Amino acid sequence: MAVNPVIETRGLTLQVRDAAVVGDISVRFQAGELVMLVGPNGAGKSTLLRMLAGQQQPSRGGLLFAGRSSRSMRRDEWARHITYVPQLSALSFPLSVEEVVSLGGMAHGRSVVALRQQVQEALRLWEIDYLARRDVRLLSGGEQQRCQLARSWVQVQQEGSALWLLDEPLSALDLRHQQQCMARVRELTAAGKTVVMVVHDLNLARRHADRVVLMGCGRVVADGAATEVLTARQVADTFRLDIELDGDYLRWR
Amino acid sequence: MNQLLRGKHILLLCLLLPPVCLALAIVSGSQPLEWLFSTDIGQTVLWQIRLPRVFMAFLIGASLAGAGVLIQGVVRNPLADPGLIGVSGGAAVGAALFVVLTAAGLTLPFWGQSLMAFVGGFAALMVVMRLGFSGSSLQAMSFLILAGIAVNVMASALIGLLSYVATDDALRQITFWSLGSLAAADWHWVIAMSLLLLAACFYWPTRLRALDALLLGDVEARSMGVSVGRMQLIVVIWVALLVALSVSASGVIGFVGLISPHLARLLTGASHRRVMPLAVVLGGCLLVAADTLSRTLIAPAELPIGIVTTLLGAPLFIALMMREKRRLAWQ
Repeated sequence: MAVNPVIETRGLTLQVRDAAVVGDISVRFQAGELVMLVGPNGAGKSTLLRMLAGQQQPSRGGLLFAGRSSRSMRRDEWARHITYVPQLSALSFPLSVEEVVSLGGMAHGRSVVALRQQVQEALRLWEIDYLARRDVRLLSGGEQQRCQLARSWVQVQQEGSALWLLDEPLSALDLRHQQQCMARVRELTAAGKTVVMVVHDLNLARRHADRVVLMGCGRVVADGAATEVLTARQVADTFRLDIELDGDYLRWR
Repeated sequence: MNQLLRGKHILLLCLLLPPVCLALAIVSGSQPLEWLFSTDIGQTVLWQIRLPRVFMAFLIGASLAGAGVLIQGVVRNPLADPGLIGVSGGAAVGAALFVVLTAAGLTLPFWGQSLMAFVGGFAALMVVMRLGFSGSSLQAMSFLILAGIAVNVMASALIGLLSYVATDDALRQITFWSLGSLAAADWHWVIAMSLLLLAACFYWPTRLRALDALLLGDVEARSMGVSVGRMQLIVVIWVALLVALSVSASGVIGFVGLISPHLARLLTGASHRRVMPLAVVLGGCLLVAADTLSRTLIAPAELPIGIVTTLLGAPLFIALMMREKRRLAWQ
């Protein structure tokens, strides 16, 4: 694995009034790595992801992107290197699926024409090609999610894009499309890109992640290989739940 | 997906509709055509009154429609309109203040009126945007509209106050602004508005995609490299400019900025690269049509155009709201 991390946080802290939403987080993400962020609701997973994406300024601490402080990075530069997919939000304008997916080339200044082939491929891979002309607002939650994922997939495919940040990408997807989403993620890590995603399915994290960062109350509880981090004991403590390990499978009692 | 018109058709429509519409408007009037083209007085009417007025109607309609597209995109609210959210009101206060000040004996440069209209419109827009920003959520929408109502009420109170202290002559001018009329059209205004729209034609085409990105949400737009705060400020400045110049030329003309983008979206979806040119052309043609009605319906007298557009626009607005309500209920 590469020695230099793609992105590294140093004592990242976000304070809202007197309460720390996340406190003193120092983690590193290597090239080609799939890292899953897990933890209870309100543990600070999405906040950490937002800060990694440059959407939220930390109160203290900082980010190093490829060894360089992120403070000097402009918004468009940020978007060329880091692709961030927030949780799904509703649209109020009748954009078509194809138009939304085409926006994935914007950060890299790719015109719609230059992008046509990649957009068609994205539509096909995320199985939304039959919806291409459809109004996005009229799609189901899972279809909208696939549309947003396809858009960001186009963005992360571009030259120079090194990091894909996904906030609960699987939440609205059915089993088939969860599997396909993970396949896309693996293609990207194989190509040397880093993927950081928030998930709630701990067994999925145990099975797929190269590394798991377990968060609780705004702090990193444990960071390491999935099977070391997601032990029955540690999960039980963090989630305040009676958990047992059944073979390789975490279940509640 | 509502995409009755695609790229080629839009280009064709944008090239063909304005000349037809302008030509029809130029020849419509209470006097016969021979009078207009073959008598001396007819020629004077044609060149000094009819032509600048028809062109100005087109330019103002186009400006208001453009401002409507911009403001609707940036607040992600298809019900936003320069009139409804108070920009026109703010600009009218600025313009009215200029009238009162000059009537009181102050000598101000002629462009002072447009400048004061700009300041008024800009201030109103900043207040409204602070309250009604972000999100397609119902809460943000109602905040935007409520803020618009507050600003509009404030504006009409201020105009009332100004009318109270105004001289008779200034009062007539202020009334003219609050109802809207194209009677003051001349070639100077046509040139000023053409220059502003020309500048917009150079500035906006490469930035329309960023507006599309904004439709997905602030966070999404930022993740695609759009500096959201900067973009919002740029839009506010352009909207204030377009509306201020329109208001100082013709007073408050409502609903064109709301209806034209809606029509364009019905015809071609929401992508700004198609909506913007189409809405601008439709807005221009709509106002030319409304102005032709306003000066021919009860000829030789004429209706203030603001009354015509509001009479036609308000029911359309209610119809749009009902459509929106049905859509939300379905979701």
